Amino acid sequence: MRISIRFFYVLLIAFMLFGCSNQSKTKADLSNPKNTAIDQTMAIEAKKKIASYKETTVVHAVNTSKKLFVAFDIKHRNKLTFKQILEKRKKALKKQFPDKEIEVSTDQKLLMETEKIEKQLKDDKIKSEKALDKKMEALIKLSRKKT
Amino acid sequence: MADKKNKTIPPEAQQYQQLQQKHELKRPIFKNCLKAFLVGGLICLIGQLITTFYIHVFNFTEQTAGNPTVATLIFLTMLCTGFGFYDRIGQFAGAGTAVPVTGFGNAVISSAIEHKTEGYILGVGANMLKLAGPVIVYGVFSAFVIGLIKTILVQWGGF
Repeated sequence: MRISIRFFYVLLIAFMLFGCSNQSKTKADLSNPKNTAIDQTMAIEAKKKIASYKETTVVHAVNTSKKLFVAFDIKHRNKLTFKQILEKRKKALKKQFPDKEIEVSTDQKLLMETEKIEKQLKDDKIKSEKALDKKMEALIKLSRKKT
Repeated sequence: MADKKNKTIPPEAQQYQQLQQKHELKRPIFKNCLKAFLVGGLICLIGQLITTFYIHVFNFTEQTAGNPTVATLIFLTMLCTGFGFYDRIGQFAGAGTAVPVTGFGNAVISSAIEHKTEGYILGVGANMLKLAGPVIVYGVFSAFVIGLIKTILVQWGGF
């Protein structure tokens, strides 16, 4: 009985330590989508910029000619200061693209949705900039929702 | 202080107290803490799973999924309390079940069940928040004090 309790404690500590060693490389798809009607160079540049920061784990971005939406995830230990990180990244992107409307987010849902739009762009499922703009508008609206 | 207090107690009672102290079982504090940690953590894990479910299945963001998660957890607690299951977990885990929002739900629902026989208005309605009322009052008050401290620190402290 005693041995099994000790074994349980060892297992518990081991799990905790395994949790701490989650050091993955930044995931960012930097390839250009086939669809040339909607230029995604700005999104790729933004992804490169955000991926260059060491706390970024995943980054996805989409853009129209006027708007840029960047969603990224950060390492768990940086989540306490995510608001400051968001502000800094938004400022950095604004400096790089001064005449664009920029939105950034670290929300899981928005990350998923942005990835979905990226995939749709790659698979040529979004044909016009108007359709993309509509999807981005929905993303922005979702990111501003408080309750 | 203790001697002064003991003087007022008759010697038989003092003897009894000594005997009682000798035979009293020591509370296993570490074991209780571990139980509370594990069960409280398990409740939080269930909450996280519900949040993830809402994010993936419905159109909720991490921020907006909080309210429906709390509502769902309280609903589940209501069922568990009604079936008498939550009390058993509470006996095993102590604070682990009282600290999360499920403890608040349990406090409301158990008093509602207890006072049902006194009628719906003067029984359930009047007594439902008897236990949970102080939680709301002091919760709001603590939030106010912490908000005040934060405002002072941010506005004048330069943090």
